[in-house]
Amino acid sequence: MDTISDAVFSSWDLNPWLLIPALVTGVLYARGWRRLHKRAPHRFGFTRLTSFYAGLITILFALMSPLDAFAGWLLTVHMIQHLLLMMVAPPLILNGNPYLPLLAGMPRRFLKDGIAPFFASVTLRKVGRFVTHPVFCWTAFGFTSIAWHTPPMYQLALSFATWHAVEHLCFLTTALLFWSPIIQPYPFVQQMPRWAMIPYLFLADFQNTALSAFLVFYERVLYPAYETAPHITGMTALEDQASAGAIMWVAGSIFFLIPVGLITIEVLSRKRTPLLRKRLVLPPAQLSERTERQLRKRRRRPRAPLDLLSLPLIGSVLRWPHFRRWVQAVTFLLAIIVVADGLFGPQMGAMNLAGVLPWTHWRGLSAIALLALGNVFCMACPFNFVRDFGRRLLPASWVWPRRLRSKWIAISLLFVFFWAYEAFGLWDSPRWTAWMIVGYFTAALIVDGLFKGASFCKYVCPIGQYQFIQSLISPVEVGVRSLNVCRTCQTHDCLRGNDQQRGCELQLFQPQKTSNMDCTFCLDCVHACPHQNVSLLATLPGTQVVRIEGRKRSLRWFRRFDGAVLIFLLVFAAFVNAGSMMLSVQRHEQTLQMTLQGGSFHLILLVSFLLALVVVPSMLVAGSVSLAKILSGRHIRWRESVSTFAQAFVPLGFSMWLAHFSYHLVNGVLTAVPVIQRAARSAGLNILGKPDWSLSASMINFDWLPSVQLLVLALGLLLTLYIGWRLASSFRLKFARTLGMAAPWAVLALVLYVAGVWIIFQPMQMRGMMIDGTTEWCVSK
Amino acid sequence: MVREQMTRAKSNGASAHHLVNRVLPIIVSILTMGIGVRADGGNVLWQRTMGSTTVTAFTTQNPLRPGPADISFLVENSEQLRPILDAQVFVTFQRETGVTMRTEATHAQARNKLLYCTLIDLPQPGRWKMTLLVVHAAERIEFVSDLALSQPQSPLSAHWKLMAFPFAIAILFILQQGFAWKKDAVHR
Repeated sequence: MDTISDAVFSSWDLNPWLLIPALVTGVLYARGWRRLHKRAPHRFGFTRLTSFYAGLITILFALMSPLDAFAGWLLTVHMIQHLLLMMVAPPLILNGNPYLPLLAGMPRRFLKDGIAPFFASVTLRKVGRFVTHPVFCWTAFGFTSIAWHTPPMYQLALSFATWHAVEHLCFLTTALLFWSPIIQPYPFVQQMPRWAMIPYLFLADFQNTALSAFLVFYERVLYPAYETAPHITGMTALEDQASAGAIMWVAGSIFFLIPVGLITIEVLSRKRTPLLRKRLVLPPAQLSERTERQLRKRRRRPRAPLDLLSLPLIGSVLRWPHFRRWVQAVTFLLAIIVVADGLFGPQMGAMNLAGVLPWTHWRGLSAIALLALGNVFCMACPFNFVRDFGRRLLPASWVWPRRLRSKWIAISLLFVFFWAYEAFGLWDSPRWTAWMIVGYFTAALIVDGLFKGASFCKYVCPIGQYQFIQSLISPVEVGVRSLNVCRTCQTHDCLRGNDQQRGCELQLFQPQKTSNMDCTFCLDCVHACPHQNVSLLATLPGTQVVRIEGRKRSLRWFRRFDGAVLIFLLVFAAFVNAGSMMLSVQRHEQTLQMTLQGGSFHLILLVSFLLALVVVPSMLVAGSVSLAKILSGRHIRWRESVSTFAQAFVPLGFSMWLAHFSYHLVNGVLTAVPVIQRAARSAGLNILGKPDWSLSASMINFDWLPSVQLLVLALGLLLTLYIGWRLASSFRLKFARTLGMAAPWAVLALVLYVAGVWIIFQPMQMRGMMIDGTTEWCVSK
Repeated sequence: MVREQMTRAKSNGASAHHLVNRVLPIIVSILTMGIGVRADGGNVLWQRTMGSTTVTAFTTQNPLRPGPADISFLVENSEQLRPILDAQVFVTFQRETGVTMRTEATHAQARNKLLYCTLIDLPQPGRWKMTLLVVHAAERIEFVSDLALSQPQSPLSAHWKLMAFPFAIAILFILQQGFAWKKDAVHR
């Protein structure tokens, strides 16, 4: 910094937490103003627009400019900041008639379904009328102004950033209320005669004068913080206090007395049109019919979802017929390397590719991919690659038995996997991991070598079931571009295939497909469709699960009980799996292992898993079903109730998996480096250098990680609650009964959420890393 | 059946749009939840004068706890009390256990550009020795002081906003639905 003035004037803080909301508000206002300006240009003219943005900029200037940086050192500067927030910004914003443009700028559906009910409420309207009554507005403004200037409150704001923000928020909101009866922004309802605004302002000025006179004439420093602050201007704290009082006195009086003059002229003049409030009501006849027509047309027009295959580079890569084969070849090669290292490399998880890549990296990356893209793992599945080659040798002529066409085999295998993961410490046993992968290859080869279609993927593969369920909240799905094309299609190649390309092996008919369930993203249907009508379409995460009402009940896959059980198993497993890493659980397991024989330990663990994944969930779900029945007064078969509400838990389960796996990935992302170096050296390749094991032994303390985990979990909970409510609403009961039906499921979701929060803050075992013991989040805070 | 599914699929785009309408307010709520005004230079930790230099130390955290903290220093000429802007300020934090952390305080890290600021992650609670070395015009002045770090906050109090967030949204949503159902009942 060259000079002090340079330093002072460069003390800006472009705080994104202020900029982003201001930007959102500005965009909403601009959108709404544009619409309203077309309909009523005289009411929503450019002056209004300019005034609103001037107010918004004033707020940003007050909170981000050097005024804020030096407000803690000089009371005078702090006073200017407060004057901007209370006297300048609110009148400017209100003069922009902000209410209608801000509402009109919101998405229509949100306005109609989200905001409109509040405006329609009689109670809230009464509250609104009370809050905007001039007596309340004046009292709130005066009280806030005096209360925050008392030394204890002022000191509190200077000492704590949060209280300082609260202080500013109080000033801004009460000032907006205070100036409302004076500016009367459309459609403000006048509750007192116009002349009453004259004493209203005089009284405010009196209060302001009294407060500022006290600051000017008081002979001691009121706020001790300014005594200890540096006096960079050369003023003493007392002089600074007097100066602040003088500014408050003079500027305050100007801001109060100018409107007094204007209103007096307005009241005394014979014109009915007020100076500060032009008549704003536009006769309906003046509404442009053309604009109305356009608006109606826009409302009806369906929005085409983003088509990923039409994107320039990504589209052509994904459309390439050999794309999947190449990706699978790469993952197959990786799997072979992992298996080889698992079988012949060092038998320590953190030093072996089989201990690090599948459990730390693959799990984390596939969870992130599910959230960001979709079922990418199934698309790149190496097991699928092997079975396609196996089909050339084996007949694949049998049809999968009808009795086994359910998820029960996969559910059983998933349970066994969750138990085996803990019982045999798979994350720390490269050999077991390698054998598991080999077993997987063999099973895929045999099942799909003997049976037609993708029977392994659909009925057996536990990883596939995990991916199918979690991909229900993915932002990408395979779907049809235009249903009109499907209506005219006679061949149904997407399902049956043709001479060049096989159809969907999982028997998903594209026009009927409702979600990503059972979809492996193989893109066979995309290649088979002669009309190029099947594509990868973008949807918002969670849309597939939310999209409920439109489906006919008989078509919902999740109405099947096995689907519901699969969901609940995966949801509870998410919490049990993460909870198993807790230090206390690990110690307990070690004690058990030491006191019991190996076989007994596995048996006890099996019983524990049966309790945690079968008995307790069954009891909780049964309790929710019974309570929902009692509270709603509606008799629903318990299987239907379970099957209906299970899907609501998908987001919560996924959020726990994501929070858990991302924790490992973020902390252990570099653990792959030394392991790859070691594996390369073992294979005689020294180009990667000596393994740097320090990368595997040190943990970076990411302070933001618990916050992100909590946010992920909170969003999962909210989506679960929302879907649960939508499902309960689909039974078309009265409000209280609908609430009664949804409440027990909501309580179950809350119990899981609380368990998840508790797990996040527990000391954890760092699996796949060379850290002895645990990382204690709370200790490092 | 196909037709029904086609109708469903047709509404895909609308559903996505519908979700935007639901998600957008949530995102906005999250963003606005975090609005915070940083303290103005923070609380004064101490003020010392040595030779011709006066240093005032500030911190925004009150009280200081383990974890990321920002500590800033105003270096002034003690006679004229004019801020010195071309000094170099080095800070060393030392604990009895032997843990030592060194850092440089700079204008770049400060919002108030008269200050020299250091962003540091102190790992443990308890007493730390803070040694400040000010190098200005071939003069090296050292200030030594104690820094007391309180016990870390419990996760509940550190993250209460994030934990309360879903409950607040859920309550608001139930209220909104209550009003919406009343409105529909009136219309029916």
